Amino acid sequence: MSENMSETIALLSNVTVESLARRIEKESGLKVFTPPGFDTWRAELLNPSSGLWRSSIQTICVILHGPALLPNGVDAGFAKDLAELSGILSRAQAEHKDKVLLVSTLDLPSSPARPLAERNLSVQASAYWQSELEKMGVPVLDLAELAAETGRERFYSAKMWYFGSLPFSRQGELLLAQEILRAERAVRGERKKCLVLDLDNTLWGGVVGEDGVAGIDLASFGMGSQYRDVQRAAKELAQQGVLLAIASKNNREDALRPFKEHPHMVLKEEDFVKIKADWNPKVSNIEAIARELSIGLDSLVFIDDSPLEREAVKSALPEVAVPDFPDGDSSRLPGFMRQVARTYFTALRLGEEDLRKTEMYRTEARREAARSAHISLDDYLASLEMKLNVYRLGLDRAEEIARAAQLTQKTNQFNLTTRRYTEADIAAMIRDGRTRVWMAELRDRFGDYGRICLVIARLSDGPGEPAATIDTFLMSCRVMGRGVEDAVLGCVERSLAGEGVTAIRGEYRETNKNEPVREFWDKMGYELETNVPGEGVLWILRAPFNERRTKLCLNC
Amino acid sequence: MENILDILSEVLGTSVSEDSSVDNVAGWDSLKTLQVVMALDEAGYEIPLEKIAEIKSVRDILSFAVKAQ
Repeated sequence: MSENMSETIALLSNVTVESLARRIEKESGLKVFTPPGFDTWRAELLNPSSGLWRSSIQTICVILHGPALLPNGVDAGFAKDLAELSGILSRAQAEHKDKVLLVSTLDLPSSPARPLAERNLSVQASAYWQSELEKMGVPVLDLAELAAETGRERFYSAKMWYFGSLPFSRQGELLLAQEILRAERAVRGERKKCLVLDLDNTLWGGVVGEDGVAGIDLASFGMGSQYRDVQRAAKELAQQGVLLAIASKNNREDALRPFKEHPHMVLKEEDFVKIKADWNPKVSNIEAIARELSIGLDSLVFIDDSPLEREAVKSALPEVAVPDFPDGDSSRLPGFMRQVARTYFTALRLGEEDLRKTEMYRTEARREAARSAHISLDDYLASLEMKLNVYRLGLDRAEEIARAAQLTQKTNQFNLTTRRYTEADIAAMIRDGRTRVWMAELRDRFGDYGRICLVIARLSDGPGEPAATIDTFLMSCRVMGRGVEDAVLGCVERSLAGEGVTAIRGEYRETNKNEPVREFWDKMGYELETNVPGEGVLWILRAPFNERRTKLCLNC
Repeated sequence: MENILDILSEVLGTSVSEDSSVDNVAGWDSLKTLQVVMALDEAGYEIPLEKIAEIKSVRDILSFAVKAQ
């Protein structure tokens, strides 16, 4: 921490908080101001020349230790005492509108010998204070809730209190520091916008594609209700304006069936602003979610039970928050969801806009759907303003060769032959005079997709008709359905024609992943030539090769 | 004992030995003493309230701290 960094948080309290201040600094790297003296918080708030009002300070956090505030215990006159304190806070708030006052609730233990049938003044005083804070409209630091969740025995330390006028245990202090920082993030508006959820073993137990709707674990009571509670936590976030999305590897139909048919689903299809249930990599689906919602990747939180999926997203999209999922015990899931809500989605206050946001995005989605229903695919593709650059690969750039090899290794769906090549293989092909290697890179108005397509063609040897065979044609599934493949093939055909080729053979080798491109050559106007079961299918196109229509701005 | 020295080193922000004291460790003030007692408390070493004010050195802490059962 640099010495000249200025304080952004001020801590005020009726007890010793220097130790808490240091703890906050250690946890966050921020600098914390504590005024000199003990229990001077009222005077500081009323003093116009207090150090509190220096410009660097954004948040003034007032931590009140209930028992020290009412040292003679809670008696029937508590309202008068507490009203005086809230008066001081209100005045400070009115005079210093540039600061955010963050005020704690009061944790007041009940009197040990309280008659069982009498009204509980401690509870009433806490409630009264809470309602005063609500009237003021200040953000609240719920110290009482923190103490209740931790247990007073562990949250406080009698020894620290008597020795240093510091009521909290080390653990209590740490929790309080984290809570203050959480509030501070909310004050600064660092709230995530969208929660991306997996389905199987996250929103229900089991795999719906295998177990069927009746076989998944989800109930309103007892076993299976842990998943209902997970859904309720997500639903609550949606009601607070957090956008929900799905990224699930499933057949879409299977994935949506529980939403339509299962009696205990809390979440409905319309709670989600985006549903990506297909076999595309989650990384690309998550990117698409951010792009389609026009929010940054750093606004997303991704929850998935699979460590592999989490790792993939973490390494490919480091901006996305990927909390660790509690493994091996689904009873811990609802608590995990509460933690996620607390960590990433705390808002300072709920704006009306927040509450409407899900509805807004949904309307937008519907509008988009309606628009898509009327406009032609061509219009839509044209609206993407795609720019495609197709180029021959040379030996001069090792990095290009590495990417080409990587594409052959990783691409499964849009891969006509699924031949895996190493960098050395690719380099050898480029060196070999009879092989041509092309790559294509794509950009559109939403962003840069990078190098997404690879084509390898071999020219025929010897006498006879000058022909070429497309050994490899693959494309990243992120850019499927946009006519990119047509445009790339058009470039390749033109280039081969330029070398005098009069017949091009397209090859298809079936795998259990590349079903989507089974009809590719047929669609491209190639004619079936040979079909050798187990070997592959060869298609052929003879010159002249017609120009291929495209909605892309093409450079090749 | 090693555990105690580790805790002290962490809280005081510098490696301490049995010979360390408020006189030769920079920044060891009453706030630090308080944080030391808190940390020891959490690790299961109790120092009676009556002894805390007497703490002037690592040796004091070692003699006052009692491993809680």
